[in-house]
Amino acid sequence: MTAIDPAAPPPAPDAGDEMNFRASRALSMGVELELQIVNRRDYNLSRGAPDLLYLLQSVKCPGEIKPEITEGMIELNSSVHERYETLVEELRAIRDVLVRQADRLNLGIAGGGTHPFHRWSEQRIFDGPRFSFISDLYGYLAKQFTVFGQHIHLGCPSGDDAVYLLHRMSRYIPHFIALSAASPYYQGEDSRFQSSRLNVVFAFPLSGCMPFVQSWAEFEAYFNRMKGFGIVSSMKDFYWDIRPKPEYGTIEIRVCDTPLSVDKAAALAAYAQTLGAHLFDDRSTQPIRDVYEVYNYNRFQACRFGLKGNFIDPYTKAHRTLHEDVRQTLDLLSDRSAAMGTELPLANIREQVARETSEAELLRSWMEQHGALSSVVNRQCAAWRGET
Amino acid sequence: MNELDFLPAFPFHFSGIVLFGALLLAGFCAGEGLYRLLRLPKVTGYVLLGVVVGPGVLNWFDQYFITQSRVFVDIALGMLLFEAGRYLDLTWYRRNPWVVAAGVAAGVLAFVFVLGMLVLLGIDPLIAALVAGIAMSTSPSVVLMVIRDLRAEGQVVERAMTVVALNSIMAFLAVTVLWSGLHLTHSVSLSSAVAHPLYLLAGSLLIGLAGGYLLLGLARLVGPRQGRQFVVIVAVILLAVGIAQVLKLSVLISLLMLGAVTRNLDQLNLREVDLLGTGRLFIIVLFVVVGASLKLDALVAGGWVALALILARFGGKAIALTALASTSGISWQKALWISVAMLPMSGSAIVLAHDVAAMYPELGAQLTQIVYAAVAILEIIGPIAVQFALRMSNEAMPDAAAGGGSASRSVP
Repeated sequence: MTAIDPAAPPPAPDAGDEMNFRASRALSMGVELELQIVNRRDYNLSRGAPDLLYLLQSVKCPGEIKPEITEGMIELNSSVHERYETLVEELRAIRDVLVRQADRLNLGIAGGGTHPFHRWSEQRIFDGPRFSFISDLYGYLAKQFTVFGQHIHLGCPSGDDAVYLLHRMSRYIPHFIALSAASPYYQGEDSRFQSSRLNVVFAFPLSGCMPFVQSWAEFEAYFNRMKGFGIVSSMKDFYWDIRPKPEYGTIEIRVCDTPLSVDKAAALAAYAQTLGAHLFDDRSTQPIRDVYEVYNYNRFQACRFGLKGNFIDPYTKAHRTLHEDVRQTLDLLSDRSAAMGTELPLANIREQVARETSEAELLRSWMEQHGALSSVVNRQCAAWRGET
Repeated sequence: MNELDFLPAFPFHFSGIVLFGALLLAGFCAGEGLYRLLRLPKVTGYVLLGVVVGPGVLNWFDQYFITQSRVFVDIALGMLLFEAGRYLDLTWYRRNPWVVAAGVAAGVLAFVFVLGMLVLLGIDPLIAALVAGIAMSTSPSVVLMVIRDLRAEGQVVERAMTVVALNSIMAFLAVTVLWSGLHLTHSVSLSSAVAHPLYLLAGSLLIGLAGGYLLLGLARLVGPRQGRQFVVIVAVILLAVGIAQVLKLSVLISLLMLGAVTRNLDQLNLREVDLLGTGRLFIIVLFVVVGASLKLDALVAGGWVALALILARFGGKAIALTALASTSGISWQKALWISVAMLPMSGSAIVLAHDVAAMYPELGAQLTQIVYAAVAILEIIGPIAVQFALRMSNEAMPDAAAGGGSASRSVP
């Protein structure tokens, strides 16, 4: 292990003005899913990513499949979509390719925000310059970062639009946390949280939220100051819950646990798209700083209690349960979702809200049924394949 | 009455406990020592200790003690073969039949190459066929223990264990059939020549099946706690070994079947338990006994033929596995490492050769020399080869001393 210079800035990405915001079609969407690769003997995380990627090289697949920081993880990327139907169709197609190749290697693919019983000390870091850098700098945090999330990208026509949308979307972050929560188990223990994954993310110094800038120019100035300090070299160094991605022309919502199925992942993206479209068009409400004052509280409530958690509305100062807030939001979006073709996924979300449950509770029920976490992961693999 | 009757009588008669303890200590030291000093697999340490203290050299651990250790050896073999059987996943083979095809091809090609080479060297064809049949097999115990000691996992590991199991079964079948052929040419009745292999196969499979159902039923009864399941698993393994021996059936097939049945029939109720961790006590004894049983003087008599046999065997397996590599979903480099991991040959080959020699002395002498020599070479270099293959294919865990989190090379 080479000694790392604590004062050295992170490696800079290749040439190109990264901060130039590339205009995107408003509210086009894309999805990234980090998935678990498990062995089918004891259902622990495997080191199968290199073998799987080797096979995928010679297979045609929509979207893109990439390695992640540790060898038990793999990342699935959709292409850009305007509508829910095409997104869900593509995700299912990528899933099928992935599952078929994994089958050849006797590997299981699973969703879920964490691996229930994997010991972080057993992971191996994938070979690659950025991964090695992260491993050197962050020590054990890099291995603990074997968590699995869904990132949702929403297209924006300009940097200023991105800043606006990001701040408005921040109020709704607890929705995405509670709806996607699927990591009740961590390191072999029941964490009592709905999503224990986000606690791991929060350990990184550059996590949290974007500062309350008002325009893209202001954001660029902030970024250049941070770069000047040598704290960051690129946007990738920020682990914010929502993050602008200028090279795609999007904002990226990063708080979701990877759901147990692609259909759920597409549903969450559809919700984000419909909500984003509403926020984008309805400029009568502007972003306010108060959102970030209640942010950590609301976020914790969502991680810990899910839809049953408490939510403080920063605009009206009202308290309500999170499931009530989601329901009100869904009511607000019902006309728009008909026009956008997202009625079906939003109906599924409404049903989840009505039952005040989550995939975390489903995982707990499987543990109750079988008594062993390896059996829970076994069921996760079946769920990913599309079998109930 | 003598006043000194309370003193123990000389010479001392050491019981099994002293034997077990001494072997365990010495074996453990040899294994750990060689690993620390030379980075050799612990199995090699155990085997070399056996060679040194056994009849070949110091003869402290003589034939009497070897016989006394029988129970420990059987327990170890039972655990190892059960664990090996648990690597056989029928769902995988259904989804990717090429894995099985590659394993079968490896066995067949090894047989053909060894047979051809031995016949070319002027060995009697029936003897050559028997040797070739024996040579198809790879020792599940050695491969499994090295995998375990290196905490290796990945495609090479999974496929190596599949090929090991397949080739061991194929070797067993080939030898029993050929042996019947041997009986026939020496005018034993046809019915008994057919009945014997049939009995062996069907009976062993039945034990595995029955034991598997018993074990799964007990596991469900006992519940998911690992501690309880461990006891139940060991109990059933020992019963299976004992019953197979009494009924003169194949312990190899019975236990492989037992492991395979439990793997495939019920994934949700039987937990993975750390058999080989606790079983190491017996496994050390097993490999020390193996070392002590090696006939090193056979190396002088049959050494060159044995080397040729080893090369032909390796060539056959390597060609088959690399040819089918990309169809079965791996790189040819990984397939090559699997072939290298197939080098260890089972000590049971000696038993087989010995049995043939006992019945047909005029044919047997040649056979035993070659087999003893091959086994002697492979029991020592076999584990080293497996370790090499696992390291080179990047499936072994890096040494703790190298620092956790060291970057891996991406393969192939």
